[in-house]
Amino acid sequence: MRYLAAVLLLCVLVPFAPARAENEAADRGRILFEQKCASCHTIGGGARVGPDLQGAHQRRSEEWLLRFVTEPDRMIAEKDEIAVRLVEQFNRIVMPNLGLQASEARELLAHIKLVGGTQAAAAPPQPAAAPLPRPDLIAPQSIVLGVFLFVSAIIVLVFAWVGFSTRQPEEVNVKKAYGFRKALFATASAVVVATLVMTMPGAPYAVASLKADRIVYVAARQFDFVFSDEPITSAADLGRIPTMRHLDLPANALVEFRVTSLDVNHGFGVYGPERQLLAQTQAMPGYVNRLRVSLAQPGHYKVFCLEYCAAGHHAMQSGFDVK
Amino acid sequence: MGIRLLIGACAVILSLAAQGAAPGVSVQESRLIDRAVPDIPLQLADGRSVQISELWRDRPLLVTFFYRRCSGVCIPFLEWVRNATREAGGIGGDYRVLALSFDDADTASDVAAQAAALGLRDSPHWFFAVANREALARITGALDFWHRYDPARRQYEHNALIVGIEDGRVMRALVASGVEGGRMRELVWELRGSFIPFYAVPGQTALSCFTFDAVSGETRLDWGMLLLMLPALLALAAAVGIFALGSRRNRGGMKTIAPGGAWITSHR
Amino acid sequence: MRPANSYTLYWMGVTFLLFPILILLGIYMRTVQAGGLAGTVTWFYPMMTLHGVGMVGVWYVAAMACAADILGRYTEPSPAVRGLALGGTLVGVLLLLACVFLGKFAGGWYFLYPLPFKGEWPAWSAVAFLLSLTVLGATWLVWTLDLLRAIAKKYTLTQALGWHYLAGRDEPAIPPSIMIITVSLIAGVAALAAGVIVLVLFYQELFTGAASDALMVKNLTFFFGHTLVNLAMYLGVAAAYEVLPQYAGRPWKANKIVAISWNTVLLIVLFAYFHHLYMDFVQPGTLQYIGQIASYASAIPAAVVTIFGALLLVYRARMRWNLASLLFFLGLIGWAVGGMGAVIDSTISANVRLHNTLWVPAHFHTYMLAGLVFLVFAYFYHCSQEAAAEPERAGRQKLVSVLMVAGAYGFFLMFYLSGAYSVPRRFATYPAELAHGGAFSAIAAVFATVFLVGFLLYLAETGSRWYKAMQTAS
Repeated sequence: MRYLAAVLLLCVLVPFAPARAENEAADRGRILFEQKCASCHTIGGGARVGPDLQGAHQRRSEEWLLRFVTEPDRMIAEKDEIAVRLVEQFNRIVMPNLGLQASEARELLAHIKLVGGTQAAAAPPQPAAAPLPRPDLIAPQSIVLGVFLFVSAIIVLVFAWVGFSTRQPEEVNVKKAYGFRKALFATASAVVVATLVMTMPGAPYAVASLKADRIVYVAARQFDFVFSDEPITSAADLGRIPTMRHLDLPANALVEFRVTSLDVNHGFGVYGPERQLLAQTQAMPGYVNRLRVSLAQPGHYKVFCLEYCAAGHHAMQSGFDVK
Repeated sequence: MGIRLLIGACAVILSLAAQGAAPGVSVQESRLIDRAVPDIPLQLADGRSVQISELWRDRPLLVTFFYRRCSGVCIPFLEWVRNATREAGGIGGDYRVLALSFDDADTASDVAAQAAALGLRDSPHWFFAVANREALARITGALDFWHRYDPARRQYEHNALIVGIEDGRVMRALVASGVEGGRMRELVWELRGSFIPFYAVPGQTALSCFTFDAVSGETRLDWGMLLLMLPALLALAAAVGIFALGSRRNRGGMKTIAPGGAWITSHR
Repeated sequence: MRPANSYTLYWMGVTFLLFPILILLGIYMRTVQAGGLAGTVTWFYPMMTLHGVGMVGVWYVAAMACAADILGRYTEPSPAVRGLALGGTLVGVLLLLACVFLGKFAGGWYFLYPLPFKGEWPAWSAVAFLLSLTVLGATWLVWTLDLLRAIAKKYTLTQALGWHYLAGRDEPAIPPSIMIITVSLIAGVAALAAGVIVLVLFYQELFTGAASDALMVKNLTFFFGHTLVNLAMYLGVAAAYEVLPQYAGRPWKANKIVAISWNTVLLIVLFAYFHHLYMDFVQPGTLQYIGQIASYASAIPAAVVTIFGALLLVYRARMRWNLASLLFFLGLIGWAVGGMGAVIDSTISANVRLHNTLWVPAHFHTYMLAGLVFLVFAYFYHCSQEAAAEPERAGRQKLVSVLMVAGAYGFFLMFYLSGAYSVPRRFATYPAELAHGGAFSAIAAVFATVFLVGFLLYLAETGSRWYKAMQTAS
């Protein structure tokens, strides 16, 4: 009886088996894609560091794709025509060998087919966005620049005055000069202490007893930022923990970014709608930095990587909207 | 004998090391953060009826679940929470604790007996309470507190949960499958209003310079700091050593000044 | 006439050879950032690495060469070690060139852990880079220890640090340059030791796979990098203390205040590096505040004692202005202006807006290029002119200075402006939002070229004297 049931069950399942196996492969491919590819590629979301992979299976032969996924370095070295053209097209950032097996490459391909559907053409690499004009300096930045230029001008004037004084040589009263030095020392010390007292409370650390209205987990990796409502602390979490493709934050809310890195050191630099730095923290592997910011001005904010992290560093960016 | 001792010592060190690694925040825990907690009616051990919101109105509330007839983890866990809060301090002034029975068969006198057994009956900062079935369903549902009654054993299967609540929202939660002291104390520190900037991702920070000391609430130096101070110590040792050797060699008589030096002095 | 030391002359040769190449790399980088030479953009980061390590290394050894030359006037640094330093440095440079040009290594000059293991370059090039730094680090450590030994031959530690001035005694008179060199060398041992520890941790991971703590390695890396650059600057200042009085015709002696300030520097310089980690919020707050206090505090002895001392030395003096004295004077200006940029950046609340923007290269280029480079050039010219005793043409020497100053400050200003506009440092190209970074780069490339022309004229001026000095070198 039990035997019969098993046979019957098999009869029912066998016809569906290939389809299910394909779906499972695609699902493993999805996780692989999140872990290994999504830092540079999208499927239907436009070109990033590398091309949009939507419809890649229709543009290229399967054989070519499988080989390029597993050994891009060798194909580029062999000057494969398509590979070389792609490298040229994408700012000569070379696709690294990710150590993928042929079976994994097939799973990836299954995922790309499933997501990309049948649309034949992927979005072409976006033409470089038109350069934006220089913004006006926002207050903290212009204060910094102003203070620097002012003090530098004083330094140069004093040196110039002393330099030109040598045109009329004369003996100098050293005692008087030492008295002046004493006054200078006292003044400089007072200025230093006053500046310390004035600026230290502005430090971005430890906002005690303030409760964040929103917590966003950020995992940085070569070369993108992954936003999530849940902590991502290792590459294995990618594809398993839901991530946010688009992040909206409420204006004037205290937002806490919990920033870590999955590979090397990165910087998490928040640029406001004026395209200048408002806040930043480092993304360090093994640690979580908690950056608390309250963003008053609605608009589109950019995030740039502020710690050099290899070839795609300048292309590593993200953003969010404040509403 | 010697080898056994050594192995024993190693095992102790390894287990200590395992305890030392802070596991960070689990996914399950992070899902709870910022959730709204339903305002349910409670009956306290002394028979009073209150809304749970009255307990978190003016200061944060630490909530944990138990039931009186538990033959498993509940009672030791409560003891552990009691000890941990004592160690971290601040109870009463900075926060209160609510131990809520999730078994609707428990009565106020049951939980009062439990409070007495823990020596907490007279503590003004600990509240032992029961609630009706509907209220329990709401709060355990909102906090993803998993429990299931096993009629055969007449016991609940359940996990251990501690939730820090501020103004009706979860500020931090601990799903304590293996009880971990450091994180509990971190939770208490956060309830007390400290901002803990430091938390490491598990397993990636061997030989670090700093650790968060949950007992004192301070960040303290770790062994890696020794490496950081080594260069300065080496430099000091090198300077003292070289000059000590140099002066011993010189005692026989000082070398004459090189010609350049003489030239300089004549210019002055 | 005073014959020049042949090792000093060799070091001058090495500097004159490498410096223009490294300047060209800098101009190349600014050109790529401005959108030029787009086909070579993949070389940007390898060249950035070479420019960084190269410039830091060249100016460190050039400053050490000046220090060794100054010490040669009072005591005897070992000729064998001088040879070793030269040889070891050349081997290190060759390894570096190999890993960058053949392996396209691009870990950046401070090779922040774990980047060298996780870039697009082959593993061997990372190993070659580490080996290169190991050779350089070990060589320089031996060199530093030998110079300390040479000082110890003549002075006790307390004398060399001027502690008898603190006790109120003026005898024996210690030249301020000796005091500064002693302080810098001791700090140098610490910096190089930190470098060695970083390298050991890297090798440990290479051989055993045991990962290190990223925060700890970052601390050690900046302890190494910051301190090394900082003390190279101090060695340049020592050269000014040594030589500028000859041109002013007045003494610039050590006294209690000078001793206090440089002993304070020895202590402070070890803590200032914390300002590189302000944006690592996991670093305990206390260390961050110590970083700001130490950075501010180091400005006081420098500004009030050294800069004031230099100004007092020159004020209404019967000054003999030539290329050497002019460059010493200009070098002190660069130190002061760059130091001001550094102090602003070391303010935690300002650092939030400036960290890893072009403000950082702005200030360190100011005190390295317009500070240390000018001071070392002044010393190099001074040595060769003393040996060669050729007639000097004031007009030409002024032109050299004007071109170098105009080129340098124009080029710095673009960095400062970019920094204020939050343009990140170390971007090969700029995104559309920061396109103005590219415009600043283009102007900077022009100014840097002007500086290069000024340098070539300096080379013509000094080179002939250097060649003549080689004939009579001791």
